[in-house]
Amino acid sequence: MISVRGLSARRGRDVVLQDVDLDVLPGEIHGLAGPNGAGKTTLLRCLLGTLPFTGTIRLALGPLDAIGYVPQALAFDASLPLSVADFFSLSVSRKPVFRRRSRAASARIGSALGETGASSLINRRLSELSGGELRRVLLAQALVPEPRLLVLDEPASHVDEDGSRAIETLLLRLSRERGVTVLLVEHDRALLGRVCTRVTYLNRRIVAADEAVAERAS
Amino acid sequence: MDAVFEAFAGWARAGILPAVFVHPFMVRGLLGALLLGPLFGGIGTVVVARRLSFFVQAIGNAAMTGTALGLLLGEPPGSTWAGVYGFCLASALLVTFVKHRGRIPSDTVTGIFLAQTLGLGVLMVALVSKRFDIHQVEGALFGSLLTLRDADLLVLLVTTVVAAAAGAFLYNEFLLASLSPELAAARGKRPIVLEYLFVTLATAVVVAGLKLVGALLVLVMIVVPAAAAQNAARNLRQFFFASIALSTLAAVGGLLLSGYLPVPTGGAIALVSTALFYLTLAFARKHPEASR
Repeated sequence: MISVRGLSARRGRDVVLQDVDLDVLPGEIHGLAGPNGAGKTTLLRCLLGTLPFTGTIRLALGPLDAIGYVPQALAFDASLPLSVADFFSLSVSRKPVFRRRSRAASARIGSALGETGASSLINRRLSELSGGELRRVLLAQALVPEPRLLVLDEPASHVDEDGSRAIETLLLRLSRERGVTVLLVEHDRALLGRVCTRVTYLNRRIVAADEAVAERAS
Repeated sequence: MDAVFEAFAGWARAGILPAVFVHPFMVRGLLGALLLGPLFGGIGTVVVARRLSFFVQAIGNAAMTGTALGLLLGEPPGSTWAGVYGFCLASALLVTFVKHRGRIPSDTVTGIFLAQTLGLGVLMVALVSKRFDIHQVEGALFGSLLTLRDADLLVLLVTTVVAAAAGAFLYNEFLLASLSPELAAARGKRPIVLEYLFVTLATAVVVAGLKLVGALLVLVMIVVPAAAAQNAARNLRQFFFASIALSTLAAVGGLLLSGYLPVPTGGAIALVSTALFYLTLAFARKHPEASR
């Protein structure tokens, strides 16, 4: 699904990634672990095309296949009157957010939020959500339209134990029932061990690919 | 246009409109304000959401330098379009380029560019003042009803139509790319292209409004109504329309004020606009959490 060869990226003069190879197979949940500053988010940015790099990245996606992305954070001021429904419309709809949302569109947003247990948040302001609530909204957004590839940047940070379990269950269900390929950047090694088919450890270079996880999962 | 002026003068004489509308310059001003209000109010929501207020101020200041540059290059006074559009657009694109190339925070890049533009502007105004009436540059700084011509209204109309079309197709994308460029990229958008597009559009809008509000006060018309709308709105739809309503109210209110009192239009609009901001503070919701 994803094939990365000889990937190098810089931030200024600092080499953040050097000669990284990575393969994410179709249908697997592939974990990407490593310390802060290891280049995990940089790798995702290269993958999504927002950062220049050398090397090659190939994504085996058809023209209609969607990528779902759960960012680590959103950049906005707390004073911006951005509701959860607004954020959904910005992310998934072409109709300008200042036009009236149809009932059908609101219903679709509500049901997507329901997938992560967040349907009650639809009219709340994004700036007023707790860390865990925001994660649920970001995750729900990534499931519309149903993605072939789901890329998550630390989805379990700021999330309590129940929330973290819910994310695990959701990822496993997406992978097993719908064949969604998942690339999961995460600090929590226990969580990675519970859901991932394989885990790659990164510290500016590939440190290790943990095949043992694959055996446990199979 | 003469038929329009005549119609307005008729309504003014009949007492339907205030008596000042017997003057064609007031009618031009009103038409300008009615175009400028929605244009600035609408784009202001994206400027505020993308945190580009300082950038807009810098573009306004660049226009002063552009005006002086146009005069020096031989453009007729009052129509220094090539100088203003050329200099502002080149500056805006250069700032955006430098912002993406280095790791300097965007406000710092804008500040450095502002200092450079102002320095250049002061030099040029000094040169220009030896050859031209300094009021030409003053008009660009503070805005003036008296110098507004039919051609300026046409520029404003065309800019409004272009901005409305861009808003209809790209409003969501402009906002999404500012919330998270990666998320926009995952949705198949190109955040960097969107940034350059928005910067170009914002520059065109700022320049189109200069004649009426002036370079120094263009920020007031774009940012203050949007900031006031944030106080009252609960979602982006309310934010957008409240910003347009407040901006239009400020433009028309300021125009009427400057029609009755001998004050520059830009200053009057700024005062009405900020007064509206304080009024909306009464609606302001409390935000328990800081920016995330």
